[in-house]
Amino acid sequence: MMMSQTNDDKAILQDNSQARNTPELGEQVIVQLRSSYEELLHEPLPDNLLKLLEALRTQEERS
Amino acid sequence: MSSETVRKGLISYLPNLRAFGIALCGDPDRADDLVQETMLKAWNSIDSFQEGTNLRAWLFTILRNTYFSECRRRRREVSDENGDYVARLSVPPPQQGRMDAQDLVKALSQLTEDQREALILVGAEGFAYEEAAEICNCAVGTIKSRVNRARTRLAEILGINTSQEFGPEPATEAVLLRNSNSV
Repeated sequence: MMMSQTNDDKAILQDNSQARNTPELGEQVIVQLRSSYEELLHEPLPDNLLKLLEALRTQEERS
Repeated sequence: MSSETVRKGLISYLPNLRAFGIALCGDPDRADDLVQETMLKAWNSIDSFQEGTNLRAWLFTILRNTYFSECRRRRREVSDENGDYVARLSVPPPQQGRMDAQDLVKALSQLTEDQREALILVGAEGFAYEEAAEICNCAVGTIKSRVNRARTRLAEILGINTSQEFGPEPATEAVLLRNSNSV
């Protein structure tokens, strides 16, 4: 357990150090990630999910 | 929060659950099944949702747990210990320029499952490290480490590096190089 925590700590320290060295790199990746993810969020829902949504809304209105 | 409010919230998060599902498993059809299962599970256990806790995090936890349970079941059915099947699915995205949603899914498929979910939750969905740690049932430090590693790996996959992104563009660089050679 102790060993695992120590290794985790080392990995975090190493990662943080890398992140400090390349802040722009991280930013650039996150900007691209968010922009592409936004497309996924706005994709039209498929028929089966629309039907499910309709069924849930109907159930909600009844309750 | 009344169960009516929870139900309304549940419906409003459906697009987020779908996007998370697609990014996590890389397959829209499978993601739709996951979302459907998640919605039904959540709907039927609304009473177990604790008032004052984070509804979005609760839903993402259900989807994530459903996905990993399914993965474990699939691994038992179809052995892909070496990841050959996943490797065949993975096509490197464009090395330069804007990445669309499909490129994102392909690129994410090249990360480990742990890194992928951490990056999506924190980087794309905007969860706090603490919330993501709770969803993934691990320590906050582990999530931070996974996000950092995933970010670095994704940059490699996308061919992003600081000199390319912030230095002169290739055409300008060629002119500068030619000029410096002629001096």
